[in-house]
Amino acid sequence: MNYLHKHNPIGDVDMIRILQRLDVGATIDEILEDLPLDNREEARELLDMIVLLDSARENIVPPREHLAHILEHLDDPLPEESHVEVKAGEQEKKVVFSTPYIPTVFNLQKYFFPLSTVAVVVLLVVSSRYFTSPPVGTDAVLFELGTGDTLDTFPDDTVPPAGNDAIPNFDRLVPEQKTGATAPSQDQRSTFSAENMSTAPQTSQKTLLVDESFETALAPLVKNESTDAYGVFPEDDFSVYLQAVEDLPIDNY
Amino acid sequence: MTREEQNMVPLIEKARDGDHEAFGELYALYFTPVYRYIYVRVGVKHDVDDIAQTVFLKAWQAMARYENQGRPFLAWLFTIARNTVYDYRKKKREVLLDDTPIRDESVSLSPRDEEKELHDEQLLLVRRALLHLSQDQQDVIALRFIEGRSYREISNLIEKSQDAVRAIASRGLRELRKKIVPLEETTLQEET
Repeated sequence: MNYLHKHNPIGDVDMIRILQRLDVGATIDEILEDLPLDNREEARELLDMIVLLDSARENIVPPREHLAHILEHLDDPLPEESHVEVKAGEQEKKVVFSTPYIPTVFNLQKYFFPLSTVAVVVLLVVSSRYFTSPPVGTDAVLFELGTGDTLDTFPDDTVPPAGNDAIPNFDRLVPEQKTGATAPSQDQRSTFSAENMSTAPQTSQKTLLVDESFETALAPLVKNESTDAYGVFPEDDFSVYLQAVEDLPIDNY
Repeated sequence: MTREEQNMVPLIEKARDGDHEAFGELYALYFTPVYRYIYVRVGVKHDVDDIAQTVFLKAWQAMARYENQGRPFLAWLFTIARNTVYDYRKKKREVLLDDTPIRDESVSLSPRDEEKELHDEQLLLVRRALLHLSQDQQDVIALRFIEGRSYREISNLIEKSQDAVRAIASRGLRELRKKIVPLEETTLQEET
């Protein structure tokens, strides 16, 4: 019996079903037999890929001789360890990201702060569409970037910072309060309204917890509800502004 | 936290108090998953070795500040590994995978060798494509399909629900397939 009724391409639900069948021991042939003809080629490629990934395990043989070396050097200082301080305001920058690339923590940290900064920053996301139509998901957020949310390997090399125009007065966006602050100040709202924006945007603040995905937190800000695109305005650019709001020692872990 | 992880707590506490031997035991337990984690993201064996060592040295340095917040110890090590890989990439800019087996082209290959060569090439393509996935997708695919961990374990490690992990795996696999196609075409063009 075909348990997939939808034809190409294989969707999330269908793929999850395939994985579940694989988990309970179904063979590739059994899984393929149950699929509509239209889906079999794609499913075959996906299943082959899983088999290939599984085979990678035996290719990765960790060396065992490192332990003695590591134990010998346990008390050495790490040469690359440095204690840098991010000064409030000094790291203010703007980057424009072109869709379909979503600024991830990886992107943002690359452009704004050194790695692993536990930083309180103000993040403002502005869609270019914002200036020609009512705001769609523009927001200002107070984030605390935790070390648990550091990286994403989105193809960073293909996300060049673009030109710099129509930047709101960022200084005025920086709230006085520190981490954990609650509602945005009236000044913040005023600032947004003053920037040639037709409607005051939704403004909120949030402390990003260490265990929370930055992208998850960011997505609602830039999500176009009319599409299923995750955190992306189709055919749009959006800008990200960050600034430290207090002096911050960088402490990796 | 699983029972196995709870059993680790005394060992972790000893290591936190500066006990080299306890840390050595943690190393022995966690080196392989950490090494694989790095390997998937770096691929240059010599560098993987160096980064893996650095991760454990950093972990040792940070042990005194380690707090058991109910997360698996491995998740903490993965965080250090992720940051260390990031540092590495900042320096390297381009991630090169050097694990294509080097063979003498003048020597004719037996069918079995050819099969192995094809397998290695395909694996390399998959690993290259893997580097272009999101962090979550890389984590889940590597942990599930390379490490062979259960969805429950992965759920604990990356602190997402099992359903979310399955969804990431599903989306990641399909994304991976999409990324492989252009890589295959590039490889073919280079060969011709």
